[in-house]
Parts: sequence; structure tokens; C-alpha cells
Amino acid sequence: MKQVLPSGAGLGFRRDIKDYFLSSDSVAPRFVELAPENWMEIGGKWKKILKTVAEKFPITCHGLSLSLGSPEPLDLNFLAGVKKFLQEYNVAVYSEHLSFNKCDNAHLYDLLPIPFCEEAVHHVSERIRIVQDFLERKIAIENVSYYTPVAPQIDEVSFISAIAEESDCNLLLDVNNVYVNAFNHGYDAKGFIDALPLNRVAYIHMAGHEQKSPTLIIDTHGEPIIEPVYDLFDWTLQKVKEVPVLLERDFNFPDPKEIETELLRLQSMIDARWKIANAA
Amino acid sequence: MQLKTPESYNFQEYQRRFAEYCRTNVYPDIPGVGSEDRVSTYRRLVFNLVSDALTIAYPITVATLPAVEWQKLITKFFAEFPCSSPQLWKMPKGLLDFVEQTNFGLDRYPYLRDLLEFEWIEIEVQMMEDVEPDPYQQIIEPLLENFFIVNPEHRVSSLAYPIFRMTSEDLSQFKDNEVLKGNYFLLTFRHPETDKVHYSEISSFILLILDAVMTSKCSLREAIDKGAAQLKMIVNEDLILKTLQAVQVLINNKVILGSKTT
Repeated sequence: MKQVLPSGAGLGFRRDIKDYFLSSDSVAPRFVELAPENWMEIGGKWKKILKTVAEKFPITCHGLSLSLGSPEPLDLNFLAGVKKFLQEYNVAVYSEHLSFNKCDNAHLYDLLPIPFCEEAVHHVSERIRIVQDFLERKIAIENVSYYTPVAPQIDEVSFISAIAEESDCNLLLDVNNVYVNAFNHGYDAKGFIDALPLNRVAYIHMAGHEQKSPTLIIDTHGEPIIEPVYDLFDWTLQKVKEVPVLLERDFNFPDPKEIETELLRLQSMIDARWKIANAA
Repeated sequence: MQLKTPESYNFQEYQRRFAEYCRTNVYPDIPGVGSEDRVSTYRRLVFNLVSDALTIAYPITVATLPAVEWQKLITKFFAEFPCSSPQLWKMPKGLLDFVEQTNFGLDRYPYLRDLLEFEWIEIEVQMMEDVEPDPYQQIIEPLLENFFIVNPEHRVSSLAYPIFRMTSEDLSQFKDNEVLKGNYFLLTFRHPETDKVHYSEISSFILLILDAVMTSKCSLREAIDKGAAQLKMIVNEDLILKTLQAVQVLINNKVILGSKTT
């Protein structure tokens, strides 16, 4: 079956809001994203629900546990499972995080910062190449939010850009993460985005966050998107080609109408910038 | 802040220290990290995520153990046990493995291993991949001559305590463990039509019969003979009658799906 590249504004598929996706009277997202780790190698009720959702929407996959930055070898058994899943659900876009979450053979299930250094650039790039060869497709790597650097030797944007070039992978530009990192680490968000290889952006994420203190924002995905992030998104739309855009909402779920309002706003911004550009 | 490159710079060693800190909460010596509150954000996020997943997986254990004991258990588990599954939903199985390997808490809570298994198996059966049973047809009388097809979406647990008959309150007041200690077999299965998970206590004899039916593909009559021989029981009318009653319950519950197609 030919893979169809999704477009427009999609929504992360979470079990807590499954009814929203299954309902026929909701404002449908243009596609749904899910983490293969949460859905592969399962059966029963949840497998049936997944099948129903996959029949209704194009699926994108955003991995959590590949741990591209780990010191230890890639888990090729796991990767084989991911490949099977991507084939089974005809997934056109697979992305992962530029982080690590496994060390000393123990998963930590969260995104830890890779030290920004030349050696790590080569290490991670080699692993991305292995993954891309194995999956027979390009993957997109996401700029992650981080709360402290670890033993940095180069800056973040150089680190991301060098990996994208060396591994020849795509970028998942998480606009909220740029905003969060710019706030937490005191840099200019637009300047950061401008310095990325924007021709490699294949996917965009948008999300809400929570400000915990005057100097710290946590990337929670549990709040609505704030205005400055919408502004940064609108600015970004003018810099990149048309790609799918995802609204991430992982917990603290509001009334579905609120999610729909965010989805519709994202879609109207996409239409305003990209449809006009395409028509010109 | 960017560091000069000392000869000893080893980014993977710094990653290890960082990950170790997230697991143990022992603050490490890592160059170039921000303030302690920034670093501790990671420990908090990582530990909360794991704690939440364990709390959801083991609600009865959480309700049974004193809160401080539960915290001790999961803190030690996360610090010492390498969670090897990339799938978060499978991670809680590690807590059962950890208690089995270390006997952690079993001196004070002898039922703890069984309780964790009881709760984990429900998740495992609910989530397990679909398994297509062998082709089957409707069961016809007499039951004894049928070659049964068993619902493959099941697990059998061997437990030392009948925790499945007890409430959290019963377990909290659990004292006389020697009286209750024994061999209990619990069959946990996924209903093929509703996908709901059910469990049922079965005797060692019924367990042997199910095993014989599945592995030897024999008739119920032959399975009874095999099971009785293993347990050195005499096959008489009473045994057959009780077995037929138990088998009928398994049929009604869709543990036995039907009879092998001829």
C-alpha cells in the first residue's frame, strides 16, 4: 500500500481521550500520532481500538525509547518491532528524540540530554544512519527540551545541525521546545530556528508547557499552547516548506472542545501561511 | 556554559553519571551541568513517571502496603533493577522480578510476591498479542469424548497464598501466614468476545487436565486418566462427576472454546 504523507494539523493519540478519536461528531484531526512503544505487540481491546483509529486517520509515529544518544548499542530487536509496526499501519513519518533514555541496559523512560560535543555528534549520527538503513527510510529527529546541559562543548544548534547533516536525517522541529529552551537557557528562539537546517524540517510539533518558577519552564504537554508559542509557530511557518503539524497533549485533558479549538487554530494558521504560499 | 576539552573528557561517562543520578538520586560530579535544582528536575520527572506507572499497575499493592513501604520498595527497585523493556507498559513486570530476585519485603509481607504477580498477570493478559486458537466446533455430548480447544489467551499463576480471595484490608491484617500457605493455581484469561480479563481458581487436577488437553491433544477422558495418574488419584464416578462440573464452568467462561474440528 502506498504511504500517504499526512498534512495539516494532527493530534497525539492518547488512551485517555480515545473516545474523541472514535467519535463521529468530533472535529477530526487531519492525522494522528502515536508512540509505537505503547501500541506494538499488543492485542485485545486496545488493538481493536488502534485498528479502528488507523482505518479512520493517517498515522504518524513518534518514538520514545530508541535512545539514539545511548552509550550502548542500539536495540535491533526493538527496532525490528518498530519496523513491523510502521509497515502494518502504513506509517509515512517516523520520528525520534535527540536524547537518550537508556544507560547501563536500564531504561529510564524519559528524555535525558546528550552532551553537546563533537564525539557525540559522530556517535549519534552513526546510530541514526544505522536506524535509517535498517528501516529503509529517513527518520526525523526532534530537538528536545532540556533543563540543564551536560558537559557541553558546542552549542545546541550546532549540535543538532551537525547531526542532521552528518546522518542525513530529517528534523522534527518542536516549536514549543525551542521556546522552552530559549527561556530556560536564555537564548533567542528565532535566531535558534534560523540557524537550523530548515530545509530538513519534515514535521512540526506544538504543545503547551508549565512555568514552574521565574526561571524555569517544564515541557509538560499538559496545558494549552500559549500566545508567544503561537507567534513563534506563525513565524516558523514562513520559514519552512509545508509539513504535518502535530498538537501534543499528553495529560490534564480538557473538554474535547478546547482541544478542537487549538486544532482549528493551528489549521487556520497553516492554511493562512502555506495555502497562500502554495497558491502564489 | 561550554567546557574546554580536558584530556579526561568522556561524554559517555557523563551520560552514565547523569542516568545513575536519575535512578539513585545521589548527586553526581558532572561537569557543565546547571544548578542543582535544574538537575533535580530530571530525577523528579523520571522517578514520577516510573512511580505513576507502577502505581497504576499495582493498585491493590499500593492500597495494602503502608505508603512508606511502597515508596521504599519502588525507590530501591528503580535504583537497583535494570528495566530492560523499551515499552513503559511492560516496565512494572520488573517490580515482580525484583521482589522475586531479592525477596525484598517478603519477611514483613509474605504475600507480596503473589500479590504483584496477581496484579501483573491481569495486565499481561489484557495486553497480550492476539493468539488465534486452533479451529474448533461446538462441543457435543458426551463431554468425556471431546478433544477440547482451550482459549490460548490465558496465563496460569502458581501462588503460595490465596490473595485473590482477600481484600486489601484482609491483606493489611495478614498475620497467620502458615495456616494459609499452600499451592494455589489461578487461571487468568481474556474473554474472546468481550476482551475483558477474568480469573478463576483451579485445582491442581484441573490444571493437569488443561495441560494434557493442550499439549497432548487428547480427549477429556484421556486427560483425566493422565492427571489422575500424575497425582496418584483413583478415577471413580465421583472424580469424573466433579471434573465434568469444573469443565462445564470452563466452557461457560470461554476458557474452553469448543471441540477440535474433525
